[in-house]
Order: sequence, then structure tokens, then C-alpha cells
Amino acid sequence: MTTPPTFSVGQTLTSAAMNSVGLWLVKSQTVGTGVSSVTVTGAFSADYDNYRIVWSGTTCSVGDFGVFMKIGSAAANYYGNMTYYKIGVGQGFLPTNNGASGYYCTIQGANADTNLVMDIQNPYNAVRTTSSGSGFGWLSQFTFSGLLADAGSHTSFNFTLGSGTMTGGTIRVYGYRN
Amino acid sequence: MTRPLIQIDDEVREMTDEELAAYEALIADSTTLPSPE
Repeated sequence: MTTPPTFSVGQTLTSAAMNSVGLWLVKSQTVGTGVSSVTVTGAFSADYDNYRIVWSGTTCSVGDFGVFMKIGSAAANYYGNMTYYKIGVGQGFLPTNNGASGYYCTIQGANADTNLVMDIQNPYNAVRTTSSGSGFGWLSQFTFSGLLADAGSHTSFNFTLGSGTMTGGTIRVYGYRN
Repeated sequence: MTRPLIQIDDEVREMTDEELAAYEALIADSTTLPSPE
């Protein structure tokens, strides 16, 4: 038997082989048309402790604003910081100190370039949720880290624009095998 | 005036009163990326 991730045609996929798959697509959500906020439900569960979220290809009606991330129904205890370097301008940061609206996680792009690759740890487990990510949107490079300082168990997350609306693109959620 | 649209999975609808209040609080604190000094 070949060793994953290389499989041969007609090969029986044993539990041992499948259980060694490290990253599993949990959910894929297409962003609608003209929405200001998108919530992805059923993203987190007891199946995984840690997740990767990949967001790409979304066009915002206006660029250069920060996008907020909220986790589950939590409406407080968000801490984080997004640092950025705006090409040709300089660097800056967008901190969140005990916020109620989530924390900044990416930058709005107006040419199908709103994007984010991030990891999130323990959103479902009844401990604090941490996350970090990076990308390049609307002529700015950015990285962020965030903390939701509660012990809630969350199954969903939300991205809300700082201004305007968004259309298209896809948000994919992957679970890291424990 | 039409309310902002919120998407929950494949459902797209106008925001409820509660959602709109949270959204307006969010955008009140939002600015375009500040230009560094």
C-alpha cells in the first residue's frame, strides 16, 4: 500500500490511511452579493481543536478598511492587533482592547483581492480562543493576532466589513486532525 | 431606506434591529486604514 498522501487507483482506503489525513475540509461558503456581513455556521465542533480558515476572491465596494472577525455569539472580550504596511505609505497598526465588535483580521480589497489565511485554536473547546493570520490586500501587507477571552464553546464565526458591502469569493474552513 | 444585508450561510437578508445596532456600533469605530505618521 502506498503511503498517504499518495494513493493508487483502486486502492482500499483503510481507516489508518484516512486517519492520517492531517487537514480536512469542514465547510466551504460562497460569499453572496452586496452583503456587509457574513456568518459561517457549523464551522467548529468537537472533531477538531484547531482550524485553518482561507478566504479569497471577495470584492468589496470600497477598499482600505479593516474587516472585523467575531466568533460565535460572543459580544465582548475581544483583544487583538493587526499590523500593516501600506505600500508606498508606511506601517501602522489597528489594536482592539476588550472590544465588542471582534478584532481586525484582514483588509478590504475592491478588486477580488480581499483575502485571509488564518489559524484559530480552540473555538469549540471551553477555553479561550486564539487566532492569527496574514495576507496582502488592497496594496497593504498585514498580519494579525487575536484573542477571545471567554471560555465559551463556539460553532460559528463572522466577518463584518468596516464599510460598504462585499460580493463573491469563498470562505473555506479546514480542521486540523487532533 | 434598505437595511444592510447580512449573510448567514446561504441565507441573505436585511439585518434585524439587534444586528443593525451591533453593525452601526462597529462601523462607528471603523475608519479607513490610518496613514502612518
